[in-house]
Amino acid sequence: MGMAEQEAIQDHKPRGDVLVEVNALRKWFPVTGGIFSHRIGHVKAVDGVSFYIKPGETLGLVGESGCGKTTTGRMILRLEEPTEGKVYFEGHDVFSLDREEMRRLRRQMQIVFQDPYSSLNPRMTVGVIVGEALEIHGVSKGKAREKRVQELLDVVGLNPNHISRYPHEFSGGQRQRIGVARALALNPKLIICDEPVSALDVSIQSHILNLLEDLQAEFNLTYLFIAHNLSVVKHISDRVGVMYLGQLVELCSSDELFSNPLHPYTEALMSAIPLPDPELKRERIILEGDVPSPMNPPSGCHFHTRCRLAQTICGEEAPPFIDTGHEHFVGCHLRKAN
Amino acid sequence: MKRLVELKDLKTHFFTDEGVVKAVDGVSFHIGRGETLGVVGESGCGKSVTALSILRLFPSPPGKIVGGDILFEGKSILRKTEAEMRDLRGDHIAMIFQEPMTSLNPVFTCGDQIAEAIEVHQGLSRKEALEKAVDMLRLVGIPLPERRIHEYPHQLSGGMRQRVMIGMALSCNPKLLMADEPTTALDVTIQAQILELMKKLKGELGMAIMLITHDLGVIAEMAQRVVVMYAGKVVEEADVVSLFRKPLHPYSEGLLNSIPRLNRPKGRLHVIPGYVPNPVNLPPGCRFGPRCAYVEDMCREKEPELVDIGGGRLVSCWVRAGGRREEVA
Repeated sequence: MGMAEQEAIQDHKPRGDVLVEVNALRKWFPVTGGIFSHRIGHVKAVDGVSFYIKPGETLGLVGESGCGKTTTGRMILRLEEPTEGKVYFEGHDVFSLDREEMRRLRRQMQIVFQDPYSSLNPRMTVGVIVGEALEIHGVSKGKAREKRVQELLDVVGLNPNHISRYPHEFSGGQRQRIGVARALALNPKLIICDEPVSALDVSIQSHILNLLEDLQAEFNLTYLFIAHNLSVVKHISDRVGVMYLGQLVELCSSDELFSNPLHPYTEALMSAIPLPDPELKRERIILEGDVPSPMNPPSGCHFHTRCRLAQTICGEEAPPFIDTGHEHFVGCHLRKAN
Repeated sequence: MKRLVELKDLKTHFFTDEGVVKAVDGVSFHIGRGETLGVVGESGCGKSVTALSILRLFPSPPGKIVGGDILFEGKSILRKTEAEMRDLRGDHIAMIFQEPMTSLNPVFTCGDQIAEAIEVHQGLSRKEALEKAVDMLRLVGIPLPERRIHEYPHQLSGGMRQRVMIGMALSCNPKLLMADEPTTALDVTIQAQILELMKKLKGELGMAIMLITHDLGVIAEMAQRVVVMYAGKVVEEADVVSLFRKPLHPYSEGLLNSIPRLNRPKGRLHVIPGYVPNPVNLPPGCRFGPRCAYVEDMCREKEPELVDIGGGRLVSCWVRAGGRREEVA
């Protein structure tokens, strides 16, 4: 990164009208090898990502495995320290907070994980799992805590009398409801949903998606919704960002993205989804090859090695991520003029 | 279309400490030569056990086929000896699984694993088998196959591994390929590559495919005919266009309505209330009854049978005309 760019990040003034702002975020994981375990390179999991989330909206992040969407989410919660870049929550620089300040901020942001089987401790009852956050943050205890947990179970559509049951006594969909109840316990403003329905059966997915939408309306929640299933992301999101090899390649409103995709990767991703309509005839864009290794991403535009439109410039220069109008951002040399 | 495989009232039960799990409980359908049959259903509906029953590969004990029959080219599979079954597996019927990493042996090279199958089933020498393995990898679209046969599974990406699995499965020209969630573990652009590949190879080799998946999009794209399973039973069978235009069984209808669609306006998703029943303790009458919006008294008392209502459509439901046999007859 050049000096000018670094100064730009330092001088950046956080926006006042957004809940979360992510600015030029990078996470490079060192890769070690050889007999002395010296550093032989970096996995550039997240490599310069900027976006914001407005209060009360749902921002979807899509992309294939290894594109950096989960790492981005974890850095917003500061479960992962960034290599570079900033995250602002309500205007506060998250990475400059000390332990105590961070602890207070954590009440505002929660996460729901993908796998409802491994994200709940099998030795704890539902009451302990959901009430744990209330205990840690000293919100309530005894009867009051129990009452609050029962209230939360009721809100997510579980029987409040099941408070002393263990996770294995619930089905996958019910466990995901427990995960949602746990995330809601401290009345957060932001919930990061990391693939919350991809481990669930089709008929159960719709239960959880509807629940998330109801809760958003009721508690004015803001979601960062991370998923690889584009149909699900379109359904739940107001705006959607598409990631490829650690970078955002396109970001705009959900309707705009699906009616007018600009980036060739977005186009290919959308044409690859099998649609549940056997009578639909359409042209498929089949991408050749696999996603390149994030340890050694292609030069210039990361996508140029698989892009059907690639030209000489794409291999030489990284395209800027710019607004083509109506807050439709795209990072492509060929599709910047709309 | 001549029938390649026919299941007649197949019952595969598992005898566990908690009770008898009727994983497959009276399943009948057939697969024609060169046809792609889709089998849809959610986890625990018995679709994988049905496929494993055809190969007699389910864990036994506790599993046991307690009733019905499976015919392959008109002959009962259940009466075959273990040696005859070995000839059938791989040679005539091949299977690929969801997670290619767990179905490939990590300590042998890809070439060794494909060549082994060819040696065993076609009696070729090691050298000839390895040459054939290279051909198979080329057929499934793996670049530089001469080099790849010397690589181990962990050196390949998920999509490449699934291609190796398909190459191995097709190496003996099977008449039936059973694919159990072949693309579920893959990314969507890689899934598109694998589905394209399966379509292309099916056209070239003329085999039948039994495609098991919970993804209705994949079914719509690949299958000609579809069997919908619920709690160990077939609840509906139809050609793919009719099923997606007008599903008859309330469960099929609910499934199709509950998925978010790219080409439909937003709104609340349809929800099938409740959960899949416990297989040890199934509800009386229709197994879908407790979750069904159209349930009637009859449904709670007597289990409906799968009834042919004409036009290649079969449905097992008292309400949707099917179940009342006497009225249809």
